[in-house]
Amino acid sequence: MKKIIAFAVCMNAVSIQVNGQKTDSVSSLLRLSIENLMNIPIYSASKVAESTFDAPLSSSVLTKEQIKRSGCTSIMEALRMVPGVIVREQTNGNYDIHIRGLDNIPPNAAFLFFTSSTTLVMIDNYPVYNYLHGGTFWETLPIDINDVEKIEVVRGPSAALYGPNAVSGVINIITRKPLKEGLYSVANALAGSYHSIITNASVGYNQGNKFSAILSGNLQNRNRTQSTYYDETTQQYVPLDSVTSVKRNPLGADNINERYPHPDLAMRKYGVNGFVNYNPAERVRLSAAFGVQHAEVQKEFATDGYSAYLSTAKADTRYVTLKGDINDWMVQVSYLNGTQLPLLGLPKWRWTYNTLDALVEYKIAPIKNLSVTPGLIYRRAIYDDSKYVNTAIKEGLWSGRAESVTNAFSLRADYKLLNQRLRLVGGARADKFNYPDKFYYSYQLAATYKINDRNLVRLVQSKAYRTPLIIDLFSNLDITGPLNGRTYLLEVRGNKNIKLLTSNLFEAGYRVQPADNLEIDLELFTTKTRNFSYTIFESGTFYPTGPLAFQGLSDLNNLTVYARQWGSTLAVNYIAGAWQFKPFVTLQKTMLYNYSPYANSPAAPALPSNHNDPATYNIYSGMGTKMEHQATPACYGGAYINWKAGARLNINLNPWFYSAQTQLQSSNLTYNDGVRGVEHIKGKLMLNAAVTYDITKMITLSLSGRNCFNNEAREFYRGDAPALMVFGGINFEL
Amino acid sequence: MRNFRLFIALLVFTFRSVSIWGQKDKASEYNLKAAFIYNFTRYIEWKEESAENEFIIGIIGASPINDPLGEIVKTETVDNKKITIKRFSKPADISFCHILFISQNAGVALDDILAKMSGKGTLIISEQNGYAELGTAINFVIVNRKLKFEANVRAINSAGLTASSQLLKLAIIIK
Repeated sequence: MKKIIAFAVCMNAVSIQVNGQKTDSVSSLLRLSIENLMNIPIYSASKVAESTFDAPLSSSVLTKEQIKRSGCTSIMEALRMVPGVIVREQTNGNYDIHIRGLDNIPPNAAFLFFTSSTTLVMIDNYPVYNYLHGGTFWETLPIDINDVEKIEVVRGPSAALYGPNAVSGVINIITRKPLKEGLYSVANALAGSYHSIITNASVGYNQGNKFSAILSGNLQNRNRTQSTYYDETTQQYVPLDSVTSVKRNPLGADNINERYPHPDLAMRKYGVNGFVNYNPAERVRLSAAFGVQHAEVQKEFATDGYSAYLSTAKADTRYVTLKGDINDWMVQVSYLNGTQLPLLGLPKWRWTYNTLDALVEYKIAPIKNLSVTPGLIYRRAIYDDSKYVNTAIKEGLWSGRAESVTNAFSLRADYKLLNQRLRLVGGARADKFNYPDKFYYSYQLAATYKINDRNLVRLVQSKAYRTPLIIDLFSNLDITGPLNGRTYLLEVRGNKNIKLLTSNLFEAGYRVQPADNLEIDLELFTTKTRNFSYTIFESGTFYPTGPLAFQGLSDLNNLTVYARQWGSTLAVNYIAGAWQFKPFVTLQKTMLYNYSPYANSPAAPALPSNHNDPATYNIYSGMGTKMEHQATPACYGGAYINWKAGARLNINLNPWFYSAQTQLQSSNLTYNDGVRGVEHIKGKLMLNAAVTYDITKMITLSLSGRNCFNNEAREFYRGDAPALMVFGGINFEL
Repeated sequence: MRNFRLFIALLVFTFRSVSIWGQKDKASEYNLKAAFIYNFTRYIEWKEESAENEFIIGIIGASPINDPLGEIVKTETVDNKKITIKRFSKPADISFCHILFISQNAGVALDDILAKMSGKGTLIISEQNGYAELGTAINFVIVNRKLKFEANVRAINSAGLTASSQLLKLAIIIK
């Protein structure tokens, strides 16, 4: 027994001594001889890995090298290599992208409410958010993979640090800068299945590390993997002219052609961007970025009575963003304007819009280990459809100029204590919107504790809001049509007092580096998200006589449903010689409480959709219920497996998988036959593989297969069947 | 009592097994590089530069080595001389220094630097593969996640410097 204790005490002494040996400080290193120094392993060769290990929030970084080695053909596709991100293909190159789910809530909703509206996407910290209905029109990203230095993804509500809309997380795309003096050039050309052509190039110059500029351009064409569209009536994929809803379009063939100008096309887009950096003095960094973009895609967005589930979306946008880091001040101003036609051929789905974002931050000189950064933010989004619709008869979605303004104050603090082992990071933000006219507060508190250099535990508590949406606030549309030889009028109105979608998070994480070449990152999270909104049928009257047969009112209002998530993400990074393994998996469960499938108030007219009994079947009739939400996969993940097979040859596998899900659309309520309005998405494993060969230091050839097993299972409601795609490409880098 | 002891032993042992992951010594790359550079000054002999009463380390290009070198300057000296750090962004700006560190971010033609510093008595240290072959005196390389250095003896000598055999024994010699 004594021996055991002696042994244990001895081991304990060793470990205390070792932990006390702070080898990483420069002064302690100076005491060592060169011979000793040569035997100390380098903690982390890359700054990225180091910062990821210490990061207080759940976050991942995807680098340009990973994107290149993996054979990914777009920024959206590359997000499949990030833990906690669900990427479903709708058509070739068009995806619906969610961080940790919260998709298809409320279930049985109109199609418009399917796609992600809770993730904030930014380019160099500048939001590229769609204020219309939340989320991101991914095809309108002006940049492409040649512009990407890295993509940072933060999981969990992060409005206090990144601004409202970061409800389920943030995707921040950081662009490249010419690091070396002299000429800079990057070019990619990829050609693959289904007329997929992806070309992009940048040229730039770095003058003495004081001034640099890049001009970059990108062009993509992708055809669909199938030529048919889903027909609700026959429940089959049929040619466009056989789709029942398309056939009955009263405006005839002209409008059908206008809506579907290129039935085989999935995506055609181009963008031109400029990036300028000027560092006139040591602590002065000025930068500017500007660009234009045009896109035409067929994707899933919304439907009307005369469209298939796929529709054509077009957009033209322009942006300029200016940023200055001047001593302890940071100033950023961004302006974007554009024209958007998300449902081509429908006049009311057309508008111009512009957003202005301005941000000033001041980093107060740290007092001991406390640094504080206050900031002021102004943001304005204007959506205007008055040019394209007759506003007098409320023909447009909001029939006029809709303006959403935010003034915000933010405060970030970073405090290190206990010999820098404990770090507290806090953010708080107060947003004052013009509508709803009140203050909203969001916060984020994170604590990390470094047990030692290889073990870190962390806790996060946060609360975030989604920006008020244009359709929620400003909808102002009169829908009229024939009803039994007379007409009906349905007024759709916005709600300037709507409560904003809110998410609360509690998270615990543990990061460990058991060996120099192994890093494990585990996070456990739970969230509660409430104040979802939807179009509610408020009231209506049938008139027995007169030209008007029916008049009804719908408005945008909050629902009683709230969602709770419980989940865990595990990510591993293991390097063995020329091999790198980065597997990751998320397990999660989402429950919906107080969900009512009835989108009508108790005062609504009796209709089949409320079993002719609105007093019983209405938006409140779900109180006290709970159900498992099936639209978010319970298990999803993937891996980045890289083998540097030789000095020039690299082989990469990036499998991706998710478990089965069920998406529910409003037809499910109408028909309730388990088929219409229901998409059973099968569990799926897909494998992507890429081989790259460096002919010279500057030129790399690539051959890649996306979806190598040709798994055609659909990934999104009535979407196209994904197919095996083979790409050949050449990359040039000076 | 016996159980209590066993409990303590297990507790202690558990603690040990947790902390085993933290026990390996390690350091960040640039802290190590800074320590190496300071160490080199003990093994290199510079020509007498009577005019210089300080020891000058130059850095060309932005580099994370700035901070750790800044730490060293605060407390250490070389031959009882104060150490000064000078930062340069292009070869034309470079003035005399005892050691010149070429950051991998420097983005400057190596030839320009070598031409500028030829025969000036400067120990040129780089951190990019192949640079010692191209004429820098010392080049840092990372082998199995450990920091090693290449020494180009001809370059050291032609700069008018003398490296001790002790140092060269540890180096990867480039001819």
